[in-house]
Amino acid sequence: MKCDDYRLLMMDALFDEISDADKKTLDDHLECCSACREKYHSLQTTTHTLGKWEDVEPRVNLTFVSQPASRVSDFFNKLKTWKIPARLGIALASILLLLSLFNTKIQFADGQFAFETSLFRRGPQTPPAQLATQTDLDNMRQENYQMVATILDEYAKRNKIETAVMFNKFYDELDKQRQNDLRLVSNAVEQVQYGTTQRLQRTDQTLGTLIEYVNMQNQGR
Amino acid sequence: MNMMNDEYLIQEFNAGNVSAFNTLVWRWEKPIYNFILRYIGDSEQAKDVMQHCFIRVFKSLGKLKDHSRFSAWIFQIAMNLCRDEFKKKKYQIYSISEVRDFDDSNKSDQKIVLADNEQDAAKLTYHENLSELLQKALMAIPEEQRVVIIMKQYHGMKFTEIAEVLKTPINTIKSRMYYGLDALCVVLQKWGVDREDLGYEM
Repeated sequence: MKCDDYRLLMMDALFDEISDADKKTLDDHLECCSACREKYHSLQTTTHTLGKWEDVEPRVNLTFVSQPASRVSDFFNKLKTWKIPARLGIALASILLLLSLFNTKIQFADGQFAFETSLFRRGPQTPPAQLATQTDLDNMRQENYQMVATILDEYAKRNKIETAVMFNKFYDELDKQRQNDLRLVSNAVEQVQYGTTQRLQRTDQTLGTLIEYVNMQNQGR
Repeated sequence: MNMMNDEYLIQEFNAGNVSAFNTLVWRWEKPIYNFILRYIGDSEQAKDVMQHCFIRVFKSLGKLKDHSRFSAWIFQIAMNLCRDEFKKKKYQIYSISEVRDFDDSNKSDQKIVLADNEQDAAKLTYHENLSELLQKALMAIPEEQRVVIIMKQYHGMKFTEIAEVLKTPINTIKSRMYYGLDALCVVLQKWGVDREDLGYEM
């Protein structure tokens, strides 16, 4: 055996897990091999040193309490205790419920909801074909006439109203234009009157001055 | 009182008695805490990991079939949580390839690889207490060796038990123990802590 091979035995001997036979083999080797003897001694010292390191208290108060399980987890826990047929039954019921939910048609008409449920999807429903009778045709034609007449009436009414509105607008425009013209004419007349009055006054003044001058001339002579 | 062993408490807990679990916690919290503390080297983190460990035990104790394996099982949980913590924090100094075992092919290369934190030695004073010193020394050796030393030295587990927990051949466990102890010896000497100093400090 080489020195390396005694290392496992050293570990066994160090922790008292060695058989008597192995202990003797190791002791024999240590007696004649100083390197291994020294190594074994240093390992013993190291374990001795490590042994001085004492445990410490964790100073953590770990306490576990039982809590009432929630309803959901309670349900699943109960499920776990059920036998296979019961579980299969639940699974089948769930599948049927899901199928019916997926194939539920919800309609809203006349302020009311209507639900239609089926396990499997139905094809698009076509209303049954009905035979049209002569009276139905007459009724339909009559309805058509009435509808067309109503439309024409409405159209005529709308036209009348639009024409009236158009004429009204035209008259309004014309009236505005006439009033504007009248205002312009009256302004012009006023201006002419004012100018005439001023000119007359100036002429009067000039004539008065002239008369006075003539009089003074006559008196001077 | 003999009835209050782990197996009995587990049976009680499985029957719905939560206080039996608390007794189990009370019994195991100190060894598990010290195991985690020595493994990861941080007391606050060790408390967190310990709590996670007991929560995991609480959740999966019902699945444990062989109740006599409880101690190995709880150490396995604690170790896995510590390793998760290492992965998260990327603490690891050594790669697995650096761990040498007896069953390795290259037996000739037996020198011990040390972490490059010798500069820490200057900071180490003799006033630091022994536990801090040994904690630093433990953190300086590969994780695979550290866990074996902790399990063997501080929890008195047999080599067969350690092999079972780590799912590793027993001779590999012994070789890790050997190299771990050897590395610790070298680390302590490198830090200038010789046997006399340690003896005096103690």
